[in-house]
Amino acid sequence: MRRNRAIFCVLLLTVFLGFLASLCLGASGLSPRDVLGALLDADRESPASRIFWYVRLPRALAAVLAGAALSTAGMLLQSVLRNPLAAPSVIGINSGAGLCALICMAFFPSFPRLIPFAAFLGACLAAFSVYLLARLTGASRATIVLSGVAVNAIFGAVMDAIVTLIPDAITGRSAFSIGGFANTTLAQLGFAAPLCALALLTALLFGRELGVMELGDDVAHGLGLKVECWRAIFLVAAAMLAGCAVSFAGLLSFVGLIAPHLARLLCRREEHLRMPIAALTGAALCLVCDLLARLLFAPYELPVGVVLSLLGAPFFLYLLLIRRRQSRHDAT
Amino acid sequence: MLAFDRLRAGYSGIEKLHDLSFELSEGKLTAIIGPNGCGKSTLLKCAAKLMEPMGGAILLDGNPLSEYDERERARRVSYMPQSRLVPDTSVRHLVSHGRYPYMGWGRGLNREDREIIDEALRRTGLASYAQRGVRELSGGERQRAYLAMMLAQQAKLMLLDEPTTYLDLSNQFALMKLLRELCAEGRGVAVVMHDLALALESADEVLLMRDGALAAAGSPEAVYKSGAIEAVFNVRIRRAADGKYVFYANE
Repeated sequence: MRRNRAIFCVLLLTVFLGFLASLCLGASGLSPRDVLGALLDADRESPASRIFWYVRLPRALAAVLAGAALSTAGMLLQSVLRNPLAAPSVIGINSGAGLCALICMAFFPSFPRLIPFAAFLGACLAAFSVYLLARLTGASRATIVLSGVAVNAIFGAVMDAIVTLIPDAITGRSAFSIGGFANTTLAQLGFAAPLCALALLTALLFGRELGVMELGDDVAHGLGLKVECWRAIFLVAAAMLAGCAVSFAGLLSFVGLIAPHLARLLCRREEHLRMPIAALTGAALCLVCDLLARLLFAPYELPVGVVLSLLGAPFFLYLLLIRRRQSRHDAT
Repeated sequence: MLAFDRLRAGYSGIEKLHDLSFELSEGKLTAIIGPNGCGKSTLLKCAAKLMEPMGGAILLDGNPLSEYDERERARRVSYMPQSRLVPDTSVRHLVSHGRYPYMGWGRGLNREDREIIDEALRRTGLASYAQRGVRELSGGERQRAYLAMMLAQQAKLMLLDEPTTYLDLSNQFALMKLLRELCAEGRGVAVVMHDLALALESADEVLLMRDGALAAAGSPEAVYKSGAIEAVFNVRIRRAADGKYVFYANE
């Protein structure tokens, strides 16, 4: 108990320090005093203020919000689908969100406020498609991942077709597909944040239902949980989180896979702390990877999606390798 | 308490249970026995409202089971399925899930809940394991942890599907002793069992099933004397002088 609370505090501190570092470090360095000055500068006219308000702050906030959202979405999906490989990018939810966001950008360019909602709808469409496919064919772990591969391929192909036919649909096509926070604006975050907050609150408040659901459908039903209803609520919450993250950060991979597993490793046996720890782990991971992306080859920057993929792909392989060993412990 | 009236049920339109009529009563331990695939687990699933019947009726305290809200039903009937997942949580937290049907909007545990959880852990011999992870336990200990969760649920009727699986002999006896104690306190317990001797020696009533129908029902003595067990399982039974049942395979 004490250990898990200590981990929670350390993560909170990491996010805070990472956020500060994200505000200060980059191609043009800002001292903490510059940051404080910019924060109090109402006119936002000085170079330091402009860097702070239009580059660093949106970027740091985007890293925190996307990390927390994708990690929580991954945790929800892994619990609801009872599949350790389920993550928004693996099972096609990010692609669904990306496709609908792209359609919105292509056909309704003057309505940027619609993008998070479109991404949410796309994420829902993908989540329920994968769930129904897996349910129809037996819902095994491999089926869910393979269904995700199919859904990813379909949505990816449609996205490519749209971008080819309507080249102006999106600026920075590769930045969108790899994912990153460099081009995020405060306005974009403002559109996505309320939906994100609602879904995060749902995940945090209904941890008991998620814990009961992790016992399996029959046991959960025996305890009086309306299993299908709660599964739908959590899938919608996961889709909202992933959709919001995609709407401003593009198709970021692996955050929703790595961070929940790190959270499970850090927080053993205490379900009620797992969700906040997952959210903080995701935020810390995105902040650290974004800092690495901008500092490793400074003054050149890597998209943060590249750093996350370099970390995430080996982690995914590791999970595949230990899957057999884990499955032996999954049922008594 | 839970009455089945000409119950018919099955999967994908194929009927597995045919016109079953009987009642599970308070204060009685009912053993449900029968060969593999005869519908024992299907019967428990219907009783726990996990499956909708294809026909007939299930009445809980005189009212149709279908009319009960999920949480209201869970306060009256608890269910432990045959196979269970092993969550990455502590034993105490797992047992606390047994209080879910009673929780308010805050989903928190009050003092009474905590006392009930402590009592469930004590009765299942898991008090000293409370803070350990469920994944660190042996198969038998995990079984007891799930049973403790059921105890915390405090339902008047407990349905258990093959609870003696994974238990060694002494733990099987300990489990049946605990179930008998619960019956003595007024709870009804229905258990799907494969150990016929243990069923005949421990139960107040025996339901013998074959091909989705009742082959015999009544006291262990009556079911034994009916010869139905020998016919259904194709075995011979003798009762020894000490009251124990001995089974022989037919040549």
